[in-house]
Amino acid sequence: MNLVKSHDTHQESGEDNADALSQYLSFQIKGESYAIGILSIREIIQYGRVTSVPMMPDFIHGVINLRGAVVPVIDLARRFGKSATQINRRTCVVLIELPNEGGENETQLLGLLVDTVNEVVDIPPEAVLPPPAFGSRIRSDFILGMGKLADDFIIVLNVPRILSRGDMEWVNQLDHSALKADAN
Amino acid sequence: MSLSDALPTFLAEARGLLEAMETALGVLDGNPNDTGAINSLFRAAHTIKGSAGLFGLDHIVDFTHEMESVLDRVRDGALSLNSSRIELMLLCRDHIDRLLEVVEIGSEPDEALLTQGEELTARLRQDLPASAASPSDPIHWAPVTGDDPVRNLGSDPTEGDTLWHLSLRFGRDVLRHGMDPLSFIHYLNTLGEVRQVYTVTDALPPAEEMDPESCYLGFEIRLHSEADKQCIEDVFDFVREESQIRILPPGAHFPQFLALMQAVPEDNHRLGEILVGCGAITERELEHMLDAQARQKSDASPTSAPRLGEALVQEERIQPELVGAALRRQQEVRRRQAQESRLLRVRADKLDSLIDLVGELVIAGAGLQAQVQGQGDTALHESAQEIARLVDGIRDGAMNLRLVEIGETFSRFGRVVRDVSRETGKDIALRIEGAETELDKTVVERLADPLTHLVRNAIDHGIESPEIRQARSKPSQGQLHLGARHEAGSVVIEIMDDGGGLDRERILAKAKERGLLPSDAEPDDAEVWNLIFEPGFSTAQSVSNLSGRGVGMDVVKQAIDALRGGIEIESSPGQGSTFRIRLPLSLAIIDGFRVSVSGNEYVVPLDMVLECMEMPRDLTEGETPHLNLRGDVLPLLPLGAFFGLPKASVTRRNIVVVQWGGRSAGLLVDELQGQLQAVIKPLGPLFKGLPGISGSTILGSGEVALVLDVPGLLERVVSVDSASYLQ
Amino acid sequence: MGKSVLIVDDSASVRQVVGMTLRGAGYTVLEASDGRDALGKLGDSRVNLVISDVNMPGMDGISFLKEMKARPANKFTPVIMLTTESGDSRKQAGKEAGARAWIVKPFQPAQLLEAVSKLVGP
Repeated sequence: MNLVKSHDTHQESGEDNADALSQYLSFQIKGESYAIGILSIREIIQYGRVTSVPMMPDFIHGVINLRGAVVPVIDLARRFGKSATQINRRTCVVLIELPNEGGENETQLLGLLVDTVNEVVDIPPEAVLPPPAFGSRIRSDFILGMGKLADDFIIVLNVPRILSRGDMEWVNQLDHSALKADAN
Repeated sequence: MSLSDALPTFLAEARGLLEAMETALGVLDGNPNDTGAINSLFRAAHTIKGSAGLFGLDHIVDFTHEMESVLDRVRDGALSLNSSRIELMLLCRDHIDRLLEVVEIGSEPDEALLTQGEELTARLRQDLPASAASPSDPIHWAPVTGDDPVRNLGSDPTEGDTLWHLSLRFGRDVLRHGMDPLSFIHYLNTLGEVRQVYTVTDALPPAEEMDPESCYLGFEIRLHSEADKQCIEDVFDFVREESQIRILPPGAHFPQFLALMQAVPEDNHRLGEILVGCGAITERELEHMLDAQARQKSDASPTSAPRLGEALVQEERIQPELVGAALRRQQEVRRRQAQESRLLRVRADKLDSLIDLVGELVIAGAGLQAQVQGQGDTALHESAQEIARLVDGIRDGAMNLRLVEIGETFSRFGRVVRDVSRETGKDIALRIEGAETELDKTVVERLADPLTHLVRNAIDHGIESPEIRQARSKPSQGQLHLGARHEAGSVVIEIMDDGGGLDRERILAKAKERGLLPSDAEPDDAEVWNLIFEPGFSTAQSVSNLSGRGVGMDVVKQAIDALRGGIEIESSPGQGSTFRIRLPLSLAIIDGFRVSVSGNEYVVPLDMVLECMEMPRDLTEGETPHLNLRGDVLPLLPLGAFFGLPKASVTRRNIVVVQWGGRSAGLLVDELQGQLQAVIKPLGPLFKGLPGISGSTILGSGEVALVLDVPGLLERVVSVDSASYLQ
Repeated sequence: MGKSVLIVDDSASVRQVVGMTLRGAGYTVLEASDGRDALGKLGDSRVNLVISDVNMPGMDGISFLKEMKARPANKFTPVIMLTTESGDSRKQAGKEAGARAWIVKPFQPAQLLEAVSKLVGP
């Protein structure tokens, strides 16, 4: 199945960086195709055993146990302003590693909830076009560029932007608003 | 007649000597080896120095001392008086002349003159060996025979313990040397009062052998005196070398000696150093005893020399009790040092990865237990039990590795208190209690900053200046108390001052001005004190150099929250304030209690759980958020509603009574799942500040469960009307 | 009549201050400017204490001490030698001559008074 394939590709490409730079993992959310550069991807696991965390924004799906580490999982569909992902047997968690904001040399592991993982695709840098100013289905600042495929375009996501804490600032606002909402 | 009357004589004499100096230097210019001229030059400098000393003219003494030292070397033939040295000596002579002029007009040397003196001194020193310090006279002790035990003097039972006991055996030749034993005994009366004198005549020879010029007498003396041992010993300076002088301190001084022993620096772990350090024996006695010991060692077989403590007692220089106490102190110091030398330095990351592994082991063990429960195999069950027991032991041992005493952190504040006291002109004594209390290393490290802030605050804003304290009829020295102790599964750290206390009215006024409180609010004291933890809240009217820089108490609170701890304040006007920090014992692995709410699992730290019970049938939801627990009114917090979870259909709900820092409440949950060991996993920056949740843990099943932040929840119970959740 | 002290020093100011200090404390003070002078002033009479500088023109302190001790009248007279740090080599010679009490120059009058009262009483 494609899970194994994408993972192997990742391993091989680690030895050839120039190659890896133009490789992207494509996946589907609510019928749309998206892509993420494979260099930030740690691994892909099947969905299972997520613990929800109360009083968090709806796009924080919960936390999972990844071999002893507790990793938050983000529901990308929710983050894009769509309805929550429907869990089925093809649902996957794409684990990505991001530099921790504020922490030097520290990285943070995050899971992205996707409907299904497709394949690893090659998009040479010259085939990545700037994002359209308008007309896309998600916030344009979440888009890094439009990847040109043989017969289609794929949205290349700006992952750090999507997950930037400065933009989300979720907990602190939420803390009070959630409480107030509940208390009233 | 006074000293100043003699000053003209001194000046005239010194000028004469300066003339003699000039003449001698003139002679030496032509004939550098003229002994007479050299001697005359030396004597002139020497005499000026000696006389100037009598008049307290220290700058002249210091200067001529350097000159004399150089000339001494010239006299000994170590240096020759070449033309540049002769020129230097002439300059020195002129300098002394100018110093004398200043003395004559009754003034002090000005800057230029002092600088000139320093320059000349520097040039003189070039001709002196690196350390021109005078060699001290080696002290020679007469060998001590030690065969005349001091038993002759009956002690006065009423005051025996307050009297010094002096045992004097004068040397045969003291009379020949012009020393009269009687005059020393008389002199003792200037230090106190000689209460009893017993003359020891044992050494008197038969009349025909007696030499009338020799001294055969000894004396046992009981002396009442407030002077210290050194001072009494000094009386016998002139006869010490040829006599045996033993001085036993009064028993009443023991407590003082014992207290001083504790204060002897720990690097002095030799018995003699401890005894000298507390004043029970003098340097000279120690040196003498060590010499005697060394002699005996070389004379006889190496093992036969008595130990220092025994020898001191044998020679009646000190009471056995004091030796005993000093030996105990020595052992204590040695033990501590031995402990330190048994320490092993381990890289913190190695330790951390071990702890992580132990965490995994605990989780895996829990998984195993869960599976074994379902099997009917008794042997398997027993093996699993045994492994569980061992895992417990390993967990405790591993957590122990991380524990360090807080004392080291505390003792650093000695310096802070000293420095800040000096800066603020306050007189503050620091008292430390519970330095041996152990805490997780990470906790101790992360506590350093908040503690420093609190200590500085206490000194800067808490404790008043000596003048104000006196005006308030408090002792002018302020007290700062730092204490740590274990209390019911947590560690309590207190910073207590006896200063002015927090100003309720000022804090209230400021809070209302900033809109933190409605203008008609009348909160109780605890609520008022908590206001100072609000970001940017500072009540110091003048922002001083030390604290009150805006970043402050809110940062302290954050740091303590991050450690899953809490802080509370007690304060009363004029009496001082206490900041009490309460922290969990360990950060990494806790005993927990598992509950479920609407299908979600949560873990409560077990040491905060008081008891569990079924929800009483007569307490229906929505009716009242309180529970009557054996007469106490206990606020209830429905966890599901608080977390905004869908309501589960459970027939009978349960209450977990939790307690932290003197507050308690009942958490309303669906099911009680029992105890477990929980390895605390941080939730990461995404979940920072999440109310009611302090972290997470991984259950035996591999699922993640959230760990409840009980202190945080208790705060919510008080700050939010929990009735609203019950609707 | 108080106890008698002979002060031997070539410095008139030292003699004056020492003399003043001791007289103030009730002693009778004789003064001499060097060893020869002191022996002459002593003659056959006895004093309770001698205070002598070491380094003096004419007869120095050590030679003076030896000669004085040879005279029966002052065989047992205590002596305080005034010395300096740089005069340490002299100390041994002084010791051989029978000196036991030393005071290092420069000294304060009070220190001297203390030493005197230890040796001869107040």
